[in-house]
Amino acid sequence: MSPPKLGARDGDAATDRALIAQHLAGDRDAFGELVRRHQDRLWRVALRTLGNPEDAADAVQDALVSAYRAAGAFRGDSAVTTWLHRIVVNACLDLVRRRSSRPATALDEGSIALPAADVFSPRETAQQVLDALRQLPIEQAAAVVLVDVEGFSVAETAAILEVPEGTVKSRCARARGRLAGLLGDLGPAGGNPPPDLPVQPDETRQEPE
Amino acid sequence: MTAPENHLDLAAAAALDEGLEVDDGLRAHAASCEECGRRLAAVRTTRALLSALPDETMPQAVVDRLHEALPREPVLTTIVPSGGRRRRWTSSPALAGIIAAAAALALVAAISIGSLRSSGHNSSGGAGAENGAATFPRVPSTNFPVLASGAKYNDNNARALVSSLDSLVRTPTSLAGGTTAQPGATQKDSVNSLSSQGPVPAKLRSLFGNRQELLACARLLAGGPVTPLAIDFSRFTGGQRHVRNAPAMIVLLPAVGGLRDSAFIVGPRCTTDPSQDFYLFVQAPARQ
Repeated sequence: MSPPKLGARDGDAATDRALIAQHLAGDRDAFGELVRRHQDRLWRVALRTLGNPEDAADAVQDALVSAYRAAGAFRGDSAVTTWLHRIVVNACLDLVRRRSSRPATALDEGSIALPAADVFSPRETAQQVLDALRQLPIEQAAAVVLVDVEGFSVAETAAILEVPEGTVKSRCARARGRLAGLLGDLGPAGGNPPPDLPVQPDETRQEPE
Repeated sequence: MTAPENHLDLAAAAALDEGLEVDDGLRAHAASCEECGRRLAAVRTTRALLSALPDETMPQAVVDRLHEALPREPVLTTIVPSGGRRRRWTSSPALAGIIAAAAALALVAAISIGSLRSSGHNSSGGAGAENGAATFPRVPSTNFPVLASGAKYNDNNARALVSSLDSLVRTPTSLAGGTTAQPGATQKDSVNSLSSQGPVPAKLRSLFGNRQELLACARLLAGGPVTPLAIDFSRFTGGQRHVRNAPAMIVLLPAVGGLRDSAFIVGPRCTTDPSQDFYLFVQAPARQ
């Protein structure tokens, strides 16, 4: 397992706050610098939650323009990176809900075989995982991307998603169960959903939990 | 061998792996079941695959698009909630200016005739406020003016009203009409010496006399320890949700971290959540 991808989270939170203050004071470069500090991580979250670069670009742009405008609302009771991720994830959710349907894929439940290491390259394996992520309801995808892909703690993810920690754990568990079914060759029972977690044929990303 | 239907399914395996509640019987079965062990392993493999996804950087085309888009956006002094369509202050500058000027005059007039009132708590001056110090005060104080102007704030007049309020508490000489500051008194002494018949909205009356609660509200809004410059109990009309006559507190905070004096206009819940009773954030104009 690779180490958590902390990126800008390890950066100087005080610098982030100072950049917000400078932005509000009229410094036109401050917000751009703030974006530069966080853009890669925000991009990864959007891309992996939404599943395609076009949507991710739209969501990130919408989110950062909103953040630019609403920086005065930043209260400082959370880290700037938490605030920015919250806005980006909300933009992703909004985008999917506005469209009321997720991007269609040809993948059926259980149709993604977990690639053997001697058959698929790491890149191909990663692509299989990304394809499987696209099969998840958007709320589950966002949670599992933040926790398992980006290395945020459950508490941090709860703050970003503005849901209780128990909800984050539940969403992550559901997501991992679905993904394991999509990626694994576990026999007839392995890929089936449990009785209390039905997988509807039309269970798509627009459906809130 | 246990019947297949008694095995952990993948969702249950994931729940067990996450430490969530799982049926005790199933949990006990899984502890010694090879098939369940395989499914738990599959969940853990999935976690490993997720965490091993390669890092990616934002494509340069997206970076360029983003940095091209941002400078076109003016920095607003009012909050526009995500997806909001709030009419901007500048959308009709002439009309907005007239309305704001009238509203500001009304507020100053209200002050002049003594229609501002305090909650009866004399102030000896909030730390960090008198000289416009751009830092949080070391020790937040409950000594700050609490007013009830009766003014109706809205999107268009808020900046002018906040400016007037800021001038009032920052500049003793701005107090007019028989409310001259006494020698040696701070401007807030003068403000607090005013009596008023301005109405305090019913939903805010319990807060009006509770300075500890008001201080906690200011701290929440500022994100740190702060003595507000003043809190004006009034009403808010307009805004994102087109509220009418909503009970409102104008929490005027001192400049901090390069910001100017600024005011949060909030309801009884004292929140910055636009979906609740947060109405507006306004920065006062730079003082001369």
